[in-house]
Amino acid sequence: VTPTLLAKQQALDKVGESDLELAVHPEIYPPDFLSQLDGQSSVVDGIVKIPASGTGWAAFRECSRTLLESRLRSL
Amino acid sequence: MGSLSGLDNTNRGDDHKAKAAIEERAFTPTQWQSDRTLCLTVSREIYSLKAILSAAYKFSSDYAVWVDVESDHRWSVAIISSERIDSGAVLALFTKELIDQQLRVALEQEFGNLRTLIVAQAFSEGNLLDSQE
Repeated sequence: VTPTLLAKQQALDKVGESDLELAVHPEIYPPDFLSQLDGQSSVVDGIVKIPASGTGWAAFRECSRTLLESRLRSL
Repeated sequence: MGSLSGLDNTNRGDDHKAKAAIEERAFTPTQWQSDRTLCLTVSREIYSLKAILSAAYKFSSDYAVWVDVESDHRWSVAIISSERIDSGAVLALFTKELIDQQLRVALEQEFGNLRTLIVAQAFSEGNLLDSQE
């Protein structure tokens, strides 16, 4: 596990406890795909933004599910 | 003596890099975990993007799942639970699902055209396979 990835994973572990801003990897979610989702599902300018709140984990789960579903449809 | 020692260190450094490269390309999943998060990396040479996303989507009804790229050779998957995670059970289930999805991808590549032909024949009034007709 590379240090950068480890830092990202440890940030994911704190979702709901602290604000989460997560860059989306272009190999998995290309920019043209992502631009279609901009403004929806916590994706803003290609970055997933989840505020620290009681619903943080649920919001992140919903966001990740939407991204996965949309990307699978586009493959 | 000093130069010989330097050579030894260089060789040791090369050995270390080679070992790290082999470990990076190893086909077994590696993982990091906490009380509610399980992270694993899997080989990109075995598992396609479609297989990894399909497996992740299946788990996304119960967990937040984040797919990322660790390196040129490995995918990274983080599975985050809202409460304490049974990492052993989740890892076993996810690995099984991943193998299942990769098998579907392989079968689709191998037999997808044949399936299309069978379906077309089933809904066709004539015989698509017989050139005499």
